[in-house]
Amino acid sequence: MLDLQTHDKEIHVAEQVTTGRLVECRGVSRVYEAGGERFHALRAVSLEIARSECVAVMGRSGSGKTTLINLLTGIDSPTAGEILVQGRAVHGMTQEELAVWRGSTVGVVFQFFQLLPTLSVVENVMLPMDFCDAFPRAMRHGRAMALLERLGIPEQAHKRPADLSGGQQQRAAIARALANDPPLLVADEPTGNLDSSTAHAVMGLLASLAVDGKTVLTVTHDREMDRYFTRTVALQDGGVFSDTAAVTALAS
Amino acid sequence: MTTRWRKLVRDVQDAPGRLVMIVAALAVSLTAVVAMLATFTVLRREVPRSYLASNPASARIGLAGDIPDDVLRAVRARPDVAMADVAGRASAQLVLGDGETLPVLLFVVPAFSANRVDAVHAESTSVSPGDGVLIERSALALTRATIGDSLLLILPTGGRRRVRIAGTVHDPGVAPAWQEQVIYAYATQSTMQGLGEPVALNQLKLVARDSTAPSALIDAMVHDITDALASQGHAIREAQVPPVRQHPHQPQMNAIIAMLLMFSLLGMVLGTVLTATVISGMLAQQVRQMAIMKAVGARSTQLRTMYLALVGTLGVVAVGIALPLGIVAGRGLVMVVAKLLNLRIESLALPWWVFASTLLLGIVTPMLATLLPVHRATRRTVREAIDDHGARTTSSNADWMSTLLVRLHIRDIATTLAARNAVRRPGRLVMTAGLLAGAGAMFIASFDLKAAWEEKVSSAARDRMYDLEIHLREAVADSVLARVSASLPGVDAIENWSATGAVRVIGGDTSIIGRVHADGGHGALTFRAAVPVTRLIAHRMTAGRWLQAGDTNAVVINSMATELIFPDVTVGARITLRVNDSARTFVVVGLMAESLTQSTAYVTAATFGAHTGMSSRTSTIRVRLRSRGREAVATGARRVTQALETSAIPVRRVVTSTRMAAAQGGHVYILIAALALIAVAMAIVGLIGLTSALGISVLERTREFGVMRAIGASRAIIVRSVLVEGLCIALLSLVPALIVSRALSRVVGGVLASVAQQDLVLSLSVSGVVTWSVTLCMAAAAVSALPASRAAGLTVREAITST
Repeated sequence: MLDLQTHDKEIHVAEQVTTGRLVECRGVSRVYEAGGERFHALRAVSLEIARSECVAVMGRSGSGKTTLINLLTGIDSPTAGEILVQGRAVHGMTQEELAVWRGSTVGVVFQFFQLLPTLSVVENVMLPMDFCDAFPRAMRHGRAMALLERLGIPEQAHKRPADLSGGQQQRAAIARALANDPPLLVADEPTGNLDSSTAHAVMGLLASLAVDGKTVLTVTHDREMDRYFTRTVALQDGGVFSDTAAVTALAS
Repeated sequence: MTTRWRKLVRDVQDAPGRLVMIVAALAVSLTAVVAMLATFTVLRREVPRSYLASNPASARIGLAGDIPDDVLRAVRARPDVAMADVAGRASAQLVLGDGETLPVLLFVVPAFSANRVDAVHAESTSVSPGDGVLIERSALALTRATIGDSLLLILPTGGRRRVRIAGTVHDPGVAPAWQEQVIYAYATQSTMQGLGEPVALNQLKLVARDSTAPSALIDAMVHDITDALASQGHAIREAQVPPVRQHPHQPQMNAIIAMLLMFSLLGMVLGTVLTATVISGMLAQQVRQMAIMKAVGARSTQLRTMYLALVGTLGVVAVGIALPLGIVAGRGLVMVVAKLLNLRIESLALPWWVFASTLLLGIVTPMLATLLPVHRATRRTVREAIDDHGARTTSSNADWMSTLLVRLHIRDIATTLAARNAVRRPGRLVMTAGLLAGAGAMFIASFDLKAAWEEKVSSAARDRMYDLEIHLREAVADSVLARVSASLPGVDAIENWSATGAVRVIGGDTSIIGRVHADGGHGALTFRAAVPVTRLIAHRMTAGRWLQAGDTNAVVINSMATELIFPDVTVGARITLRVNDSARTFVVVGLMAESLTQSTAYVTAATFGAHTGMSSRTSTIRVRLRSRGREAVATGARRVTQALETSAIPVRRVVTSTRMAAAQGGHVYILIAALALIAVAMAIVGLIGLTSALGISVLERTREFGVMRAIGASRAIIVRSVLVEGLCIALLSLVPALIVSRALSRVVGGVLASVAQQDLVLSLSVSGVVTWSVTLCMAAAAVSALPASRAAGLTVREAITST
């Protein structure tokens, strides 16, 4: 029985890799309890995201957007269901395993940038490489500078985050998310704190990363940003309300 | 240096205040511990070394006359005797410039250069006083003279002679002169002969070969020697066997060391709690940063290593500060104690284990103390940590406390906020309030103990309703004294309180007179005549009754005698005392509480006369003057002395109540001083804890203050909220402080009472409670003011965007 299960799992991983699926959610639910009441943030959500997709997760406040990406990044764990990223079961990992996995597989971009205030911009970018020992020590600074160059803020490298504008801080946060060259980039309302033109610039940047092969998953409220995404998943009351990938598949 | 370590360094550089607080907290408690360890180790080594260096006599045997050379040679030849010398002792009086007299204890030896037993150490000159005398270094100030000056002495036979101070010596075998209010003088027999007052060299002093032998073995050796001497026809007057290798003030010394160790242990506990509190606060500040680091790949173990390394580094810095400071403070304390106990400190060197313990305590203890908070902080999931805005109230403790506060219906919004903020993090509240309560308990307990000792001195002064104790040169007939008394100027009452030495006899053994030290006072038993209906002492009986006029063989023993000499005796028991070479049996009719008075057995004047051959005669009188007070007593002493001498009643010694109070106070001064110092140190540790806790609490709530400001809170409300929060925590700590102080007083007081051989009446010191409460509230307001004004000064944007 056990052997059969392991065999099935191996077949599934191989299938996921060969079919280009990076993320797979199966019947994922998340229930919070507060003040003696249960709140269903996500209800049996199933979702598949392929490599190089640039996905927008939309929905009203309380629809479950942030909960979904917290589950996908291992920041939170589901009450029910399974989450597989690159074939690995995220939902079954310990906190220590999650930290290592996140460092190599997922780049996270927060709404409020969350750069460490006592480190310079380039040091913030080098930090994930240090924790995960992802690149030889001698290469880290050069790689961090290259990322900042790519994101258009090399001249800000040695400044503290507090000395940068919101847009610059978000670019630095994206550079940090890319530090260990993860296949998946997850951003939680990355433009929520930025003015319109900067927001467009940041979204353009994320879209270009998808073009370059990264899988990008972004939570956003802003309908104007639709054009940057290859797919939009809309959530409502904890469930998938609409998914443009499904529509496309149906049409085809 | 890798990026993560650079982050830690930057954290230190960016928030030096908080880390300075941690280092200060660690350094203060560690300094106290190092100081106490240094004091403990140096005193433990140097007290015996200083005392034993003088070859203190294992026994002193007194004969009726000069000890012949053949006796000395025979004793020296014994295999169980390491060394032996002869000496003499006499009492004299020093006449000060204003006519006041001070008792002088004259130690006389054949030659200082040949004297090995009870040797003195020359301080200012070689030990060859020529025609002068040497003065014990602690007595020089009392003589109001300097080396080379002449002192006017009233010698044992009553003659007044001037004698030069040839120099000073240190005699580790006597207590400090200022404590005893006695001048210790040292002279050779030739000096005394030159003064026309030869002193009988009738004391045989010997040191046992095995100086660590228990008292019983030394007693046996003394019995053997005295039996041999008696068989040769020598009359044995007395034999003194002092406590083996024990300094006269060893009980005080033990009390101080026990107290220092107990408080240092508690101080270390407080210091550890303080460190854990501050580190917890610092970690609370870093919770979101930890979450971010975890989100980018940091493992919990990596974070734990980082923060524990930081704590370890802070510990290293604290050790670097505390070690030299503690050593300096400890050496200072050693010198103070040395002065108070008249000790000579040869070396202040500390053993290696003091340094090793300091390193261990300073580095490992804070790391261990912070292990749990670090583990908790790094174990939190990224989501929990990112969602932490310092406003969690998930604890059931916090819930019931908040509910209680809601029910209180506090109308003032700032007070409501302050009170709820204070209980919002119950763990930290318990730690901070516990820290303050611990410091407060120690502060109050030290005040209790101080008050108990002061009460001891006051009680001794209250019980003593006389102003002068006059020792007459010769016993005078009561009828003569009664006639003269009527004409004494300014005298309100006069009573016969004659006294002589005595020893308890157990099982027919009459040769050992007791555990008396070299000064003849410490450890001795006084046999004293008392007046049944006295106006001059307040006799507080703890059992039985006071003496009655018709008593013939009744005795009342005081508290120190009960404690030290008659621990097995109760009212109705029969005791045998050796008085004036003969043993007598008495019935104990009462036990009497008498503070700070040496061991005394009281009998009626008639009984005293019958046993001492002084029937209807008096050798010591106690006098109450009509005018009291320091000056009046000094004047009265002069007038009464003059009047007595004019009436042909020569006076050997006058002890004024002022001198008695000084002597009694001197014995407990060191304890009071040590307790006061400990109280201050504890207050500092507690207030550092409060400062750090409040500072961290305010930093943690910076974002919340921004929100409050955004919805219209004035700066005054924010300032008041922080100030009241500080006061709330301070006030919350008072009740546990009071409760713990009761237990602490009892424990420490019990130990002190036992080692100092004094009964202590401990009660809550109101002044201690008031001083601590006022200091705490004022300090709480003061330490809250800075973070409060900083919080109020932030703009809404600065506050809300703070990380």
